[in-house]
Amino acid sequence: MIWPALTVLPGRILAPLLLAGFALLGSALNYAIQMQEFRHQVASDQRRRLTEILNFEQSRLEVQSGLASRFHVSRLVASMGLHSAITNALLVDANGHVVGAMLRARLHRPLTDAIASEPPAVRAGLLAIASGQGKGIEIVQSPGDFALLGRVAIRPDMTLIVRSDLGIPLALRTAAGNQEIRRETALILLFAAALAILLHVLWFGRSARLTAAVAAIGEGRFDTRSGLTGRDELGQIGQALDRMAADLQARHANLEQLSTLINRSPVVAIEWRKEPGLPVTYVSDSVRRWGYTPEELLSGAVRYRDLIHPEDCARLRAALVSHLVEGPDDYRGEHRVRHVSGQWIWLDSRTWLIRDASGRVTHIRSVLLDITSLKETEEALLRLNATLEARVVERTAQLEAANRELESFSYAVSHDLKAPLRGIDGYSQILLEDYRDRLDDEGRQFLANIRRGVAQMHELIEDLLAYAHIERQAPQPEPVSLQQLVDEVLDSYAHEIAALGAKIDVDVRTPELPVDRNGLALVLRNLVGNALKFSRNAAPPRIGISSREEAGTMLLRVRDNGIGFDMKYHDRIFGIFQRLHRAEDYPGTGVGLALVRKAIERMGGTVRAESEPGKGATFLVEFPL
Amino acid sequence: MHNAFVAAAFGLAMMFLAGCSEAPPLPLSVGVNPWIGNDPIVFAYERRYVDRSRVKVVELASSSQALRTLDNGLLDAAALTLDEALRLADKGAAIRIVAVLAMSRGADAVVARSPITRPAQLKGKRIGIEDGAAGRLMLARMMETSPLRSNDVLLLRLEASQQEDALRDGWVDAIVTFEPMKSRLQGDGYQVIFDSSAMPGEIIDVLVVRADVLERRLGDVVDLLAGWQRGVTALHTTPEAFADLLAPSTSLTPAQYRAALDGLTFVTLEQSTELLSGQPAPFVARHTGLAELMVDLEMIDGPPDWPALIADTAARAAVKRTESGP
Amino acid sequence: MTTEAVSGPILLVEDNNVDLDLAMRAFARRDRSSPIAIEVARDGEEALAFLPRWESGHPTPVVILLDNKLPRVSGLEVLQTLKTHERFRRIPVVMLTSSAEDEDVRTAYDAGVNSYIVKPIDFGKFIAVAEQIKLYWCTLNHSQR
Repeated sequence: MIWPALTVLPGRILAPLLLAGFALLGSALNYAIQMQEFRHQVASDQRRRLTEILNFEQSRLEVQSGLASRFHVSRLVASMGLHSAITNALLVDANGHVVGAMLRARLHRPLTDAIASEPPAVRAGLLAIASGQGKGIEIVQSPGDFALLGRVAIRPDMTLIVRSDLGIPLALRTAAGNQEIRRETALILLFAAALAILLHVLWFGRSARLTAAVAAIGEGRFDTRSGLTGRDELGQIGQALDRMAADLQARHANLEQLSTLINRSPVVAIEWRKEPGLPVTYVSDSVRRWGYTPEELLSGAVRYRDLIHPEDCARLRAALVSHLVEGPDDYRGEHRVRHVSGQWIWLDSRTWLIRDASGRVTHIRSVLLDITSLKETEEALLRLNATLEARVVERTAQLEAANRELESFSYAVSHDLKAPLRGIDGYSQILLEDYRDRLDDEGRQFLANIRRGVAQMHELIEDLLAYAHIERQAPQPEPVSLQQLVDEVLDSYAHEIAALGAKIDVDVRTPELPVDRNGLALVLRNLVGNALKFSRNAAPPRIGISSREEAGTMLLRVRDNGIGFDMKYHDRIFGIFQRLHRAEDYPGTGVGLALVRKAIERMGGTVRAESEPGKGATFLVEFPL
Repeated sequence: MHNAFVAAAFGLAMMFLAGCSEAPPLPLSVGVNPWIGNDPIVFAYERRYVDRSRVKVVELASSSQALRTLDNGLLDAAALTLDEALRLADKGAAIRIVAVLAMSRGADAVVARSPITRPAQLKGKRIGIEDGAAGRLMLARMMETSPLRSNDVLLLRLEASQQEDALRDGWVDAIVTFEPMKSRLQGDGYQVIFDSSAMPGEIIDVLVVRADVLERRLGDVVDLLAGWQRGVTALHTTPEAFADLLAPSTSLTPAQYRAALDGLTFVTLEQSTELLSGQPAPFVARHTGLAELMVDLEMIDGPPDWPALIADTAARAAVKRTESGP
Repeated sequence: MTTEAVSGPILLVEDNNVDLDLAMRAFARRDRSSPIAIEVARDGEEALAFLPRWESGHPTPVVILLDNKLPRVSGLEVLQTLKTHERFRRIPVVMLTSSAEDEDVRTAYDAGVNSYIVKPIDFGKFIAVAEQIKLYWCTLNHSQR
């Protein structure tokens, strides 16, 4: 109950108040304790004092009594009244008569009479002490009376009894004590006030400034600064606050700039609050591009969902629902909205869901970019693509048609060109065999020439067909075992090799090669055939077939020890129908090496030849691996 | 909790109040010498006509002691003769004369031992005298009417309490003394060769209060004066009771005592007030002569500042109080 | 090798005069014992005209030598008709033609041709082919009857 009350008061009032309160309470306690002590102190002080007085008076009185001056003695006793605490002083002789008293009226009376006018407690005490017998100073505290009673013997036979009131010294002491208390209290209050001022200056003033600064910043005035310096807690808080405010100010400025940027950019930013109806809580100024004002959307005069194209509505809703349920919280999409003029605008939307601390979605934000022109371009592209495809299909069809024409052409060529050759060869052979005896040598020679011509023609036709064939076929690379292929080709030339007694060296290191099998076979056949042909006069003909890999390339080498050629023709030999020798010296159509080059080039390789006349020739084929 | 706070606050307040009140003062100490003119005060004190917690009457051995003690500050007030008061004031003590108590008409006397019966016989004799002006004044007056000159006599300074014994023992031939010593000695055969009835109104008793005490404790002074007045009244109305109470301590019989009292005229508070009030107060006119004498006798340096010295406030207030009731 | 009886006939479908003549001469060469009977059809239609004759009892050939390039009805069509015929689809058919296009070969095998031979230009080689045909198809091969 007390604590809320305490927190209501501002600290600068509460602290000094509490301090003063506690200090005063301490003072009060101290006072109470002191009061107790005073009684004892006063009693002991007065006791000592009384002892001194009695001692002094004893000697004084004894002197005077020795001088037998009764008057003087009585006056001496009377002047004991000057001691402020002494209320009664009576000098009693041996007979119990008062011979000296503070009050003259008491003189010359018996003690009991003399003190009759005193209050009972005082009387009792005086009588009690008077009846004592000791020779020295005796002091007792009167039991029923806050006073000391003292007695001292005065020679030769008198007794001095005194009563020293403790109440008066106690009152004095108390008064002094009160004075002290007052002074203390005044000091406490003074110091409390000083402390209050100091606290106010040091802390509360500053904390008030801090509070005001925090409140101002909370209201949005980010240019507020607490202006607190110093290294104490408030100073640090103040400086941290100032930094925070500066940071906020900068961010706010940033935010304003961004806002301006957003408002100026074609991007429309919208925020909906996730509750039924999806009210719009923020929309950037750029929405004016669509022909609507932000106020219309914020107030609900224009509802966003009404702007969505009917075809996209269901899809959008489904997407939102799906992301709300399963996430993720960020997603993209496209949809159309209606411009105020009625035209449709394509929008690229990036949406993200904003969750609160407990994970519930509270807001949905989107940035929407007008992509209408993009979309149009896209569609144009698609249409173009389609046309292109159609054109490609058309072209391909055309090419295929051309190809087929070529195929049928070469078919026709082969079939129709070869047919007469059969006839020529056949009848000339029949003539040679069946009409041998009717022909002379020249006649037989002519027939042989005719037959040779036919053979050449046939070879040429076959080579031409092969050349055309290569162009038509698409290369089909497959892993080809080079060793195996070489063996096959050599097998097919086994007859010639045996007939020529040729020596073949095969050093094939490449295990496999991804090439078109037919193409490579063609190449090998031609190269080996050529090597055999041009080295038939060597003794013995030597042919070397080797392959190795080098720096990412496969090198195939076919070497012979034949007649070789002049290097100035090294490239010409690969031309179609190019021959370096007369047909009767070395048969050939001039198409073989052209075939080889074409085939190799289609496989992605290169071929070249090196030679010296009479020193054989080396054909080098390179394939990139 | 709430109540505890209230109690503590209350306690604090009480403490404050206790602290704020003035320290209970010691009773106003009034010193009186054995002069019987002071007996109404003693009577009043004995009979509690004064509040003993406020006023304390201290009987002293002599007026010198009273003077000393007053000057020292241990007494707040004292019953003094005027000349004693003037001398004190002249020394610079801040005192006020608040009331005229009594006027001597015979109570002061020069008492001689036989065979001296006339002042002229004191020539070459030793006279015991208090160190006060009253005695000197009386001697001066005595010498005016006699062939004695001041250097004809040897003056011995003696306190009042010592004078009687000194005369009895023969240390001095005469003493300038006052009641009750005078009656006591007279009763024992000593001669009164001059008394204050020859100089009425010159030797008066006044109540002197320290100036600061008068300011601070006017009420107590008023109480004292009121009590004194009651004592005086009792003296007049019940002289036997008065004498019965006070005679024994003077070693006089009640009859002697009462006769001794005849040597005094007690001044009422009203009369006191009349004397002391006004600008100038009648008191001043009456006693300028004494002051001049004292200046001549070099007892004081100059005439007193009468207006500063006299204060009628207490007497006036005491009159009001006695009028409204005891 | 024991000389077994060479049976016949052989049906030769050929439109070219020269080729026909040379084929006849090639088959006639090296005939030892009885010459093998060769029936000729000059185009696809004539070839297919044999079908009814076989149906009516005319002896079916032990092998049909078919040229691909024929006027009117092509060799391939004849082949397809023969190979889908209920009775005569098992008669071996050897394509004897001048073209060795992969496409033609595949199509012929798909249609069920039993063998595909390219006519060589060299007559000597052609004689050897005829010998091989006589030996393989007429002597060794068990044809269905």
